[in-house]
Amino acid sequence: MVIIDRPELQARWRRTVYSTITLVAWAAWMYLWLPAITLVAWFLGYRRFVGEIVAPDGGIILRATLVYLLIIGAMGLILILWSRYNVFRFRGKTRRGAGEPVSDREMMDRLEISPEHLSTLRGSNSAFIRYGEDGAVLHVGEAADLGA
Amino acid sequence: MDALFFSNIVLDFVFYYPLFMAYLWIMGGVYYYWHWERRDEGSPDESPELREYPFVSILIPCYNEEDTVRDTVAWACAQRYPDYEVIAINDGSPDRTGEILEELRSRFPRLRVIHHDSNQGKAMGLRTGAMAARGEYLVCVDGDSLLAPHSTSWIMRHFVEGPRVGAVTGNPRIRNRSTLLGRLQVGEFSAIVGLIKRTQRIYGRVFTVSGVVTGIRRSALHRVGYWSTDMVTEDIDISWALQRDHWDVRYEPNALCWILMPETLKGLWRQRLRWAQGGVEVLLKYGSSLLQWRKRRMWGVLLEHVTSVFWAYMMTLTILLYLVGLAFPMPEGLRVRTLLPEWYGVILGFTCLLQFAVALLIDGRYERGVARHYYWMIWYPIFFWLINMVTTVVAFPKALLKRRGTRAVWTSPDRGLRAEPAVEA
Repeated sequence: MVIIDRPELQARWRRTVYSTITLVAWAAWMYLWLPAITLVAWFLGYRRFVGEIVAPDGGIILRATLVYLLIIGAMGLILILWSRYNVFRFRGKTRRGAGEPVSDREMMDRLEISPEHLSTLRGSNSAFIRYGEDGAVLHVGEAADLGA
Repeated sequence: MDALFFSNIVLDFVFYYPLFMAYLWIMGGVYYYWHWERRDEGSPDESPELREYPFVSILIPCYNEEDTVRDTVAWACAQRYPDYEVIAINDGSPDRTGEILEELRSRFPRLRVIHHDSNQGKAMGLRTGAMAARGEYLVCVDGDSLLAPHSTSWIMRHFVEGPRVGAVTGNPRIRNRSTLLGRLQVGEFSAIVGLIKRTQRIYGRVFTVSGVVTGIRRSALHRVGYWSTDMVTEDIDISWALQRDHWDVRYEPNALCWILMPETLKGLWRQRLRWAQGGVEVLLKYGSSLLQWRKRRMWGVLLEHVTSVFWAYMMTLTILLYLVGLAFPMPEGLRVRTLLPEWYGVILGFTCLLQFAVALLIDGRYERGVARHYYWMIWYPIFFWLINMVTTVVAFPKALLKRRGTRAVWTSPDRGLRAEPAVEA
């Protein structure tokens, strides 16, 4: 199986602990909703919401929420406009190309490997390579020659 | 500026930054999905039709992978792509990796093996592979990851259609989910990482490719000087290097790659600390060079990254002040009354819910049954932000104090709870 979902491979106490703290996390998350729950409860006849939240702050909470929505809306708009702008400006136009594939000569110079070594490396199906301290290629050979 | 005003700004920033970022990712994810993904008729289970099929070299750098390399090679050699080779680079593994690779050569004709004389690190392993590759296009996977059969085609689609595409990042899916840590990483990868990548693609620049599955154009790689051997996360480094050189880095959600993630706290900590350190290292390495007008398109990624590091420190400070304030009286400007002002809590809860829903909707098509993890997903926003915060705070000084040029070495990863050894592609 690609997916390994075998919780029984853990110690039982570990599983219990993790399940329990997840339950606690869900409880904490539900606690976050308390003001909203209280609001609903208020509509059903309880008056705590007005006393607890709205009255002390006036309309601040609702105004704040409105401000958040506006900010989020603005962010979304900017993102989408930016995307449209780029599509409009660059669709179908490639200003820079890929260029030619890097040549062996260039690679040998940059990676400090000799033509013979590169050739062995490319041609072999089982090779070994020895690097120097500075990253230069010291030796490349067939793995069979290693004897290992 | 009086102290109260200052503390209000800090508190506002600390509370609102994660909230608004979450909405940015949600909106980015939805827009990307609606505009590009939805219309895509393809799926990870079928290869797209390409105009041409250039030769591909799949590189698998390995270090101490004796438990996993058989499966990795078997999957890599089962790609539904006409013309490719698989190069496994044994980076001086003291275990049986080298032996096993040589054995596998007789089973898989497409496999080539290269052994490093001594341990050189992953970046050097990739470099060896890049030299030895007979093709211009490289697909790099980790020594313990399973590349889904059609992923090569999905990755190559971008290279064939876009001459300016330097790299393509695939879609890592987590295999091991037996524990809480495993499951919440499943959630993290679907619900946060997936949304972030999509949003970054809309913006036009990504923070990083996923090193476990990345396609790279060799010429682009050459231009930026190949992988750096002194960066602890060579994938973040190569992403910034390529984008700084005006190469396009794409995201392909259909290119699945099944990976193993740590399932112990210690393993997870070490891995995430390394990622955080890598993030700071690229900041130090590339930060100032990106401030020119020519590199302006990287400014968004740079800004977001710097802000995240700053946020980590501010959040830590806030929590510390709150905890200290519980025990001792504090001056008004420094007092943190509560970590969760009431109405903010509702908005937070609602945001979580929304993010779960969006992620499941978008990500569900790549992994049927991911909704099963819903119960555990309560953790991942907290997990994501908390672990980011703590690892960033620790990693920043670590990266600053690290000596330049220190060779980055392999860490023995925690690969979670394993079950049966052999996996059929």
